[in-house]
Amino acid sequence: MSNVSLRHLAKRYGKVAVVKDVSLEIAEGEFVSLLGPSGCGKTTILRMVAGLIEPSDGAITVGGRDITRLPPNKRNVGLVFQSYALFPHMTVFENVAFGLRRKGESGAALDERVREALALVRLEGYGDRYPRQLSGGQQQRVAMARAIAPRPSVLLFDEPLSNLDAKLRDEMQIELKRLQRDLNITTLFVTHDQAEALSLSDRVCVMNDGVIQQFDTPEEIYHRPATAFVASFIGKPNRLAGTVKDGAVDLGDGLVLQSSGAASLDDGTPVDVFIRQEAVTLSASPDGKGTGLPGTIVLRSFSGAQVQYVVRLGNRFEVVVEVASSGEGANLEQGREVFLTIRPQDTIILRSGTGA
Amino acid sequence: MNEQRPGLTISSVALLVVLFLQIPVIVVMLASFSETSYLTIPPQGWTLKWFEAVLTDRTYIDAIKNSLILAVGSTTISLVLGVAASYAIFRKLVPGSEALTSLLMAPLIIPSVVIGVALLQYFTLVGMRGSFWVLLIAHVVITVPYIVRSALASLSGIDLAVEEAARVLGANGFTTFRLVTLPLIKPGLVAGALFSFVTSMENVPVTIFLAGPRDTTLPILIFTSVEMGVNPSVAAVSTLLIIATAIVLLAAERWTGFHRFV
Repeated sequence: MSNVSLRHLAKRYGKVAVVKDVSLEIAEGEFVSLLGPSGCGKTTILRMVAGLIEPSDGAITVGGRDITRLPPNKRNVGLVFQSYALFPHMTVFENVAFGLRRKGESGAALDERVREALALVRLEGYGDRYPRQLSGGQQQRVAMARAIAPRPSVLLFDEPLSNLDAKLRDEMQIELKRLQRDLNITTLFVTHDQAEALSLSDRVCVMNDGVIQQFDTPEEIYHRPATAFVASFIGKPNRLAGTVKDGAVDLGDGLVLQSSGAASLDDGTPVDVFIRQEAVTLSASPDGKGTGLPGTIVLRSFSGAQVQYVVRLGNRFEVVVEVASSGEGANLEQGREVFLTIRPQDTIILRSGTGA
Repeated sequence: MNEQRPGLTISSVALLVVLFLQIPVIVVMLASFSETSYLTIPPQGWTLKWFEAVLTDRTYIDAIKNSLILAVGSTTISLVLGVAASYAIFRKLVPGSEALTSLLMAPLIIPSVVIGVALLQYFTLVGMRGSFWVLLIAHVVITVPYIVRSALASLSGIDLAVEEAARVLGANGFTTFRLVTLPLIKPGLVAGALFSFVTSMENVPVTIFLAGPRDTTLPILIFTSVEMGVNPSVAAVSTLLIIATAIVLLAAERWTGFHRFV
């Protein structure tokens, strides 16, 4: 159990930089996710920590020990692969025992450690099976037991849940979180699934194009994104471009949006405003205070618990709005004039050109 | 499409083809039991005396021994060299992997007689002609392609992440190969080794150029016996060879299910 620190880590293939100057401090026992679209360099970072890829630059230390140039077998890390990568010719017992045997464990002590690891993932009594005799979820749990059995100082996960179906994925998420908390092992978790990253992690590191966009708690990432990339990547919000005018945002066509962040910006500053689909209220008539934005419903689609509208605002914007199907504004027909109310504190405002 | 048993026509044709292919084998086996001192079909009477003649003849026993030593020796050496080379090629540990593969596979394409003549000239030049080691080296050259082919095919069938998992779990490169890679490619290697063994066992065109008088192999002996006038002992030794081969193939199939790799 140790803290992990990445300092100015970089990986280049020829002239292509996959990871550019990434520095990250992960506290002991912390659960950190690397989140980003495919090709953002998150898996490369994970593989550099595991020793499977050699960094072009920078250093990796675990518990103060520099492991940058150590071969993978000398690093004492645990890695769970996307494909599980179980040894198909070995039983579950031998799979889990593999790492322990390499540490010289044998006999009754080995049996005990393997049993312990299998119990942690609730697979007692499966020791004699072969991987091909197990379901996907069970194979996943064997992969976890195999990774934790030798008590690594760091646990690494490479999109471990992406091959499971939705229901099983939710179950495994909870199990994984419980396991990590019980064992208190420093964990680095790679995923492209934002819900997974937000719900599992103590802190999330959002990456794009080989660069860290924001490294913060899930709440901060969600509510106070630091860059336009983070704002648009998390929660799929609407993005409106405008300019600051008198402490509000002028969207053109006579549309003025109240935004609590606009007051601190100079008039004329070009900005992007991000509004989450669920933060908008629709009503058939103006609210009387004159703050509602007038628009026209272009499309309505019912999906059970929610109703989604596409609303045209002026000539430049179409906004997706999501309301509860049992609540107010759930039964507005297509083509109708409506008013959109957005609380100023629910808008995220960023200067144009901050990130992607 | 619903699953259908093959029709009567197809089944009969298939049976005929199989029979046709096996006719030489059947003929030889039948002829070996004939009481006459020349080869004849159908056999005249039934006897095992030709088998007795073969198994008590020093010339045959020595030839069988030579052949077995050569086949086992060359297959073992080919396995070690072929697997090592295939791994290096597959993992791109060496530059020019395409060229290397072609080079190793070349003996499959080049006519055996050409290889025989070429090796004869070479070994004469370096003054090693007539030695048993020359024969062994020659057999390694002609058997290594079978090992390389099956090893490369088997390697491409395993998940790279499995080796990485072993490395991360604390195994060094060699341990990973021994405990993970090798067991996973073993069925393919058994198939390759069988081909290699049989190739060495039956080779005439290369061996005949290189074998010294004391290193006569079984196929060479059969070849020269036939030239000097045939009696059924040649058929008897061939029958023994056929039965031995069949037993080995069946056993290997039972142990490893290698037919998937052929």
